[in-house]
Amino acid sequence: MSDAVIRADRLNKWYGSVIALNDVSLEIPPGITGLLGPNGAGKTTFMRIAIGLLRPSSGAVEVAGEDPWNNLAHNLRTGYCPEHDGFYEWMTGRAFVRWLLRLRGRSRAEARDGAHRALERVRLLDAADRAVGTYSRGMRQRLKIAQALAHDAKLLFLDEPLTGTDPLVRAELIDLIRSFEREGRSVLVSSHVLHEIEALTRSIVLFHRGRLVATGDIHEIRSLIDRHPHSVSVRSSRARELAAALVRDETVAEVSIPAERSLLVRTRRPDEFYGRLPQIALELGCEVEEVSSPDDNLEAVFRYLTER
Amino acid sequence: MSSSAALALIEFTARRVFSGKRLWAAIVLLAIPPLVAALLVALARQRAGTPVHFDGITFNLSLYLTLVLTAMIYGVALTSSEIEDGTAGYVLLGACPRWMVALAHVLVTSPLLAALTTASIAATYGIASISPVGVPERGPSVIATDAFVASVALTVYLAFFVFCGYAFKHNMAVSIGTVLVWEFIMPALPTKFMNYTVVMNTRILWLHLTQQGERGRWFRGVVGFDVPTYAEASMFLSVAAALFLTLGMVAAMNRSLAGREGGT
Repeated sequence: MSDAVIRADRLNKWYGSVIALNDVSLEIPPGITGLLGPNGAGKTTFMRIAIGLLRPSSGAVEVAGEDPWNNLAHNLRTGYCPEHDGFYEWMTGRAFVRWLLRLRGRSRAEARDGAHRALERVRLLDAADRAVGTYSRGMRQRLKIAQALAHDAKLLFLDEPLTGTDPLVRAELIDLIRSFEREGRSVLVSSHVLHEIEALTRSIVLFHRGRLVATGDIHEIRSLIDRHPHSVSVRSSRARELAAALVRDETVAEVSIPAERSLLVRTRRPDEFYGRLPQIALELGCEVEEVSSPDDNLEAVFRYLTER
Repeated sequence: MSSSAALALIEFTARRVFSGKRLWAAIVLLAIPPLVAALLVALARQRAGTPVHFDGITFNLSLYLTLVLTAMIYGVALTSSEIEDGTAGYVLLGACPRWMVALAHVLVTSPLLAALTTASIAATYGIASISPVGVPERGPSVIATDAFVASVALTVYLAFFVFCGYAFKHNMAVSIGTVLVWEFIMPALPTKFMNYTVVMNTRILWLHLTQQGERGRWFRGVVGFDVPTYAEASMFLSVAAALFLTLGMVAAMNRSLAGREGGT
């Protein structure tokens, strides 16, 4: 018998006439596993079924050997960081984590200490007593991760945790997520950016249009991605100056400015580019507000995989 | 499930009653009866001798309109709005079963809203008492009586809206449509169906407690058949509250949360 932490058997999910998951059967091992696929691939649906927020239309899923639907023991073993920001904006970050701990059965004192530890862990203590409504994108991502891990969850579901973060926050969050594995936790982390998943794990699950396309080692897919230029969207208040500097860099194939404060960079060497970008921005003294990767390059790989 | 989680759920639900835009909406709604009372007092002073029906202000505005809207705001805010905002998942993934979350929505929120409504009724009568004609007909028990009837109506309405919030994707349309047809139009029609509305049975309770069951001027349109007795009205409201509460708990147990985007 395998030691899979998540096991899905012929899982289907329909939203009316739209199929979100199509006959998905898989086993996810302990450790960090990347759930990779373009937007609309079914990643969030799969996560929500596995966390117990969604009921499958047919098929079954087991998490640690149990059905997650309406399962209180499962709720206490798992932590979920949703993709979209959903907060009580009037609440402070500390109160938010503390309340969620209390709703998971912790006493007032335990909740207070647990919230402090979790916020310290994600480096959000300085802003912990501010209303969540005043938080930046990066702070919100950290807060979502803090509430997911605060109750010592053994299995974490992180849905696009790096989306929209700046390079510094991204690097910190990657380190943080990798540290969970060293503590013996298992993590299922989703992204539509191969580079992000690659920085976290070698074990990946590929979804495309609701179907499971492949599972296994990331290096096999890596060779495919290099054939397709990688697009990176960068937001900066000094977009034109940054574009001028980037176009001279050897890792960059092409730069365009689709909007006033936005750059679209095409590169065939994404690893090196992600390393170079903070250096170039630092040399220019300009702030990079957000880095994100449109999924068109990944879409090309999926087309290749599904059509071969 | 631990008792500390249940206690936290009660506290958390109570805290959400007094926070966010929903509180301001409720305050504005509940301020309408005292404001109308103040307007009538001012008019009565200008035109001495004009009869002012203050019971109508609390009765019609507080019970007939304000209560329904307040319960709708909270019923929707605690269920479908939180599902849309993405916050419902945090509560439903806690250590309390989903049915208990729905139960807390109704049983914790109702008394707190009833307290706010009582304050509104007390303010209305306080303002009425300074008018030249004073508070008519009834003694100091008027506030307690109105508050009791308001609490019963709030519980039934809130249970219904919580049920709609969990059961229907387009819950606002269902809630508004049902209330408009069944609670606003039906009681105005001379048909037997009016006896099966919350607003009619609430009025019956109120009439029996305050007017010895006399129809008075409030039931001018009710002709041709008997209105329910106090016992029948109590039974109807109790059954309605229990039914919607149970349905709401079952709907919460079966509600899938597809996420704010509702996509994949």
